[in-house]
Amino acid sequence: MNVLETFGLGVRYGQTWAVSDCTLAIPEGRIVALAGSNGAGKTTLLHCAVGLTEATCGTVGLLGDLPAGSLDALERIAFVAQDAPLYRHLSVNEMVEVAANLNRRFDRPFASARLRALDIPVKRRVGKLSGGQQAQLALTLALARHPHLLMLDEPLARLDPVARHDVMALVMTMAAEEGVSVVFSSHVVSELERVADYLVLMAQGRLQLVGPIEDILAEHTVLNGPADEAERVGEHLCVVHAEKAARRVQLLVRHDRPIETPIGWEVDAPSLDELVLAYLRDPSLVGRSGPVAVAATAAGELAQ
Amino acid sequence: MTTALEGGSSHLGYLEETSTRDAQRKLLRVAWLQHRGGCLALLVVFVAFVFAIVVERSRVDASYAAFVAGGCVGRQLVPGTCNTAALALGGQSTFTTIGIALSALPLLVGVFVGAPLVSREIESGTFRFAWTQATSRSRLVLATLGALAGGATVMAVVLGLVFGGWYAHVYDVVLTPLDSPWQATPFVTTWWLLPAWTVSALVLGAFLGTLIRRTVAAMAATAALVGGLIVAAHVVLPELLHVGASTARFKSEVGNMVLGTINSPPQPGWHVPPGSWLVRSWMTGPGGRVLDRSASVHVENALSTRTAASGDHWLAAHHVSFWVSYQPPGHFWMFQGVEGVVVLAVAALCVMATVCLLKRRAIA
Repeated sequence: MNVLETFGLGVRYGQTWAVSDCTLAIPEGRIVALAGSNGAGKTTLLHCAVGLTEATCGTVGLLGDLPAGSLDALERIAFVAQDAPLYRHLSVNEMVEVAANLNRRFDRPFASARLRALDIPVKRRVGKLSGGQQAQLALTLALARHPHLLMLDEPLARLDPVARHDVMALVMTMAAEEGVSVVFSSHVVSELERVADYLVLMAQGRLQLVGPIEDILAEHTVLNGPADEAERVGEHLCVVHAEKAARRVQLLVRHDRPIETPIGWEVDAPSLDELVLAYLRDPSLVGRSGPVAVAATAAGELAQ
Repeated sequence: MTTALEGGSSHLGYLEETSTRDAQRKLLRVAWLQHRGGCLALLVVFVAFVFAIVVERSRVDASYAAFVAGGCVGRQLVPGTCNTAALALGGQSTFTTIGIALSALPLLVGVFVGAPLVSREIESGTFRFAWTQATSRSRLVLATLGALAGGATVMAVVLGLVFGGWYAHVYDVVLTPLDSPWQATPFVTTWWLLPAWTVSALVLGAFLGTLIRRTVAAMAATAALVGGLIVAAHVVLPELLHVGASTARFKSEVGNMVLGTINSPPQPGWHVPPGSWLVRSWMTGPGGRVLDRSASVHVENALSTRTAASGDHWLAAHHVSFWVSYQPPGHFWMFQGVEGVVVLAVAALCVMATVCLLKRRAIA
């Protein structure tokens, strides 16, 4: 079962397409890094998935074939929005009560235990909590619903390094123990690299890379060699990014099958960070479209 | 209700399973937590109104004792002691002030409770929390709106009864046209129309808030629209009162009466049922022909120098009749009902439009 599927999804605000021609299918049980630069369309895609934004064209399905925003879907997913918007005038306890009353299934003991563990004062008003505590509270309320799919929009932005680590660890634990599928959105890839096993990369509202991180990395190679041979070597390869330094050049290439190493060149495996940065530098690149293979299209666009 | 999940989910610990019956109670609890500030502010306004009315009614009761002691009950009021006492008993100025303030209650509720209901949620971003829980956004907003409308209705009904009771007390006891329930302020502050307008303003504000999505702008729009509708109702009502009006033929009282549109209560001794509302007057000459303005003025001048008996004789001799159309007191609740139903129909349309907007409109 796919936890999130889109087909030809497009969202337009006025004359601007925030998301366009977005087709993807994320299998269940994955921890997905939804990455992209600011304004890439990550939040719009998530909002579409939870029914906060209406698609201008295309379709969005959740957990099989549940329509986005439907009550059936909302009962099985949890969403933590960017900046963790909560009712600032309520106390933490009251905020938990609101969440419990708005959901048919809510694990109060879990929420209480986690808030106690985080040392969040339950009688304090939400507005008086630090940004990190508010983010932790929002995440706690989402996790207490024990969702099948957890969607987090920039969840780590307001957390200190220790809290980031703890949140990641908790989400990993929930994913491992309960089989929760998780979609993280962030423009900081390094913080997702440790936990994610699936990548959705967006730029300017379009998908650039979709698929298991392991596969994506396997399809890319870094070639180091003399700068004056770059053009000759690159002629027969899909070069995603080239970086020259003095008389050496580093080519990031994409390939469907193992490549033959040119004489005098060194081969290296790219890090996820390197790979994502290379794609983000050129939003027109489309490398991999996930389960629905469109390699020909991708290769064609790479050749451009 | 808290139950342990069975089977494979047991590792999740204890999850709350909510029955449909409990769901409504829980939504009301959410509505209270979210809007208790506004509810408490309304309660303060309510208590202030009740206090003002009760205090003034006590003063009226004291004046009534003096009125009775002066032997004024049942006597026609002419300038002098009884008339002064009657005016004091009426507490006209305070009555009018409180009445006008009370007729502004729907405006207050619409602007300060209705307009921010959805717009503040959107503006502050909390809709991204509230509308992604396992409760549909329209159900959540409807439950909140219903709870607030229920509270506002109870408040407005009580205020309408207390205020109307005061009015009835003065009017029935003094038996003078100090005021009439047909006049604009008492008409819209009855136990029926006050809550109807209040609920309508509340949902109209909520609709505009959903449409505009900005709190201050929605409050301004609600103030303009609800205020405009209240004023429009005041303007339109006298025109509507022509519908279904009864007619009566008068005699020499014509000397005390305005020709054309009247819109005032009758004076004691006039030939219409007590509690009626005079709508319009006109004169007819020989053959039932309606007299024009100049002819009517001529008749008025002729009557002004005559006594009642000779005036009647003069009218008969010249085949002139004086007619008045009026709404009998029995029609009062019919008009109340019609206006109330129209206002509540607008409220129902606003609720439907709000739900449609919530369901169809992209927010983020």
